[in-house]
Amino acid sequence: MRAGTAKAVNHQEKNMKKIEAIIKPFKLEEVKDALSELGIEGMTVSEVKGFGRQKGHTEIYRGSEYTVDFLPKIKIELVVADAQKDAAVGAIVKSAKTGKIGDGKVFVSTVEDAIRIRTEEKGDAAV
Amino acid sequence: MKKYFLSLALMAITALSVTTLRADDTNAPAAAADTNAVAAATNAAPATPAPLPPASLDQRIGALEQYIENGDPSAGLKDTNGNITVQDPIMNSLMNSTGSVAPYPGPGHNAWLLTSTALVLFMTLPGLALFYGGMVRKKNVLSVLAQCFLITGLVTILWVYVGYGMIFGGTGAADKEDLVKGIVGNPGICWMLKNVTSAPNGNYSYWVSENVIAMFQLMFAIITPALIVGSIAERMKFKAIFVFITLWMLVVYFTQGHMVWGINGMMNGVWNAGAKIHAMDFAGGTVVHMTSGYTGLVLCLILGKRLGFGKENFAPHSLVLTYIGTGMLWVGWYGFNSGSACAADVIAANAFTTTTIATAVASFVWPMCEWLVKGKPSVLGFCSGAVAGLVAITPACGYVTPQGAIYIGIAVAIVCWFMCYKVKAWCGYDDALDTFGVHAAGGTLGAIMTGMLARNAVNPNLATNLKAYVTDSLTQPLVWEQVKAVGVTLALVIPSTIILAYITKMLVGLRPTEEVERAGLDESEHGEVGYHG
Repeated sequence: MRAGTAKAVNHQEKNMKKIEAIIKPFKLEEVKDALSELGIEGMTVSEVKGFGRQKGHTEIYRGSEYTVDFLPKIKIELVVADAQKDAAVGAIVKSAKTGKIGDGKVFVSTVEDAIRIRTEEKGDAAV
Repeated sequence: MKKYFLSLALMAITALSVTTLRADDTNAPAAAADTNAVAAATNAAPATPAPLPPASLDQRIGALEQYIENGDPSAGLKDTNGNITVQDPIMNSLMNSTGSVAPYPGPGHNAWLLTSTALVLFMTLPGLALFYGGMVRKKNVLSVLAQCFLITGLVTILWVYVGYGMIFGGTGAADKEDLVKGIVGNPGICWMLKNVTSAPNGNYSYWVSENVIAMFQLMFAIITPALIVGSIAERMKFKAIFVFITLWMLVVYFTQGHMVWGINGMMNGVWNAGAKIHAMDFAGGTVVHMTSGYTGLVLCLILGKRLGFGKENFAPHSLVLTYIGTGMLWVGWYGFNSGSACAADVIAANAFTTTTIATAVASFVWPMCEWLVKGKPSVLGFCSGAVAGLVAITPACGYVTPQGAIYIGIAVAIVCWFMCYKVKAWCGYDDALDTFGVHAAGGTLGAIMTGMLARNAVNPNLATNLKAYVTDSLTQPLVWEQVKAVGVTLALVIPSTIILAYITKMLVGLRPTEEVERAGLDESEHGEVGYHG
């Protein structure tokens, strides 16, 4: 029987960080590879729609015009130990950049806790 | 209201079943005999006395040659009074629904019509269903599929009981048989396809079984109301479609079909010497496309626009499905057009050729128009062009040359593209899937161009009753007859649709509630979702 306070709980100065990145869909492979090189192997990816300053496009079906504002994007979410945060963000920005409008954004927020389901490890050992 | 409607439907089915069971006792068309009592009929009919001399070898070969030429096999077996005087094995003992003895059906001709029947069914299920299904929003895709299938079964029931008889039934003695001479046929005349056997009915085909003709034409009767679905897609209740289509078939389709294709139809210029309007419609430009197209327009005006029209994104949810449907429509249409020759003969061959050319040319020209004007040729443009070409060549295919087919293809692509691209926007009606823009406009144009381009050399049958009208020029008198036919069609279709639509509205209402329309018809009316995940 293990007590809840196993060695996995680290009372570090800073909590883990969640990184959310909205990027152009064709950049996904590059970003994934860049993060792998840093040793970050896990992430969650979703297909989303959105827009910032990039304008939409017009579709025409038999004379009926529709302006589509939302553009397809990819959202990557990952949680890293605070020490890795800057390297991860830097890798994402570098690999996702094309220099053109619509490259996307990266958001960083604080995560209260993380648990690995299989082993019930908590904190940095879980990410 | 729902229970009331269900009990009405149950009572209707019970009534039909009871009358069906009693039909054998009470229904006997004027000259037909029960096929189980052939002996009695043979004794009673003066045309087949007991022992006839056998036909000579010459006569028998002559009858067989008629099979190849798609002519009347009994022609060489009769005397000057029209009585058959020799016994030829080609003459069957089966009677057809007009009460005459008929020859055996010709295997080649029958085979082609059997195939054509299947091809035309394929046009509706799933050709048209996918063509339209792909063009609506995802939340309404099943409603289109359901409506097409409902129409299939519903129209078949109507057809078997009254439809076939109203359009094609009878011996040709319109005075005795029609409800309104040359216009409205007789609903009782082929009740439940009584006396419609595998024997050919010479009024429509010498060599194809009458039951095959009946099934073939049934497929036309099915696809016509299914086209209407295109105009009112996404905003008409299933119940309303049920009621409206039932009434519409009885009032509009069976009447129009009788006028144009019935042997004593008043607009049947090719086959009815006593026609009032000497018009021609090979496979259904007026009967199928104009009726459905103009009905679609009237209905979409009465129904009003879809919620969010002009503001929300109504883009097709799957042009892939639409494309698949288009291919199926084109292939199936060979049965529709070429099969309307009611034989596997030279006319069918011509119809196949002109259908191919007009369709391919139109499918080419429409996207070219888009490319020139809008900058991009679209897949929907290719599909629409092809269908427009098919629509316009429908009344013309058995009467025009391949060159005529090219002109028709070019003209219809430009006209229908313009209707869908500009006229619809100018007028502001919500013809959801362009049934009016393609079928009404294409059908009307096709009918007029048939008038201009029909040529004697293509179809020798034109010489029978239309010598004065088909003079092989672009301004031949036939053109005016076609215009008159268009006028009569409109005079039938538009007022009838208005009246029937309001009757339907009174009985069951037309539009679903706003919530149902916003959520999508699939879940609310059918309890199903087209795609999961």
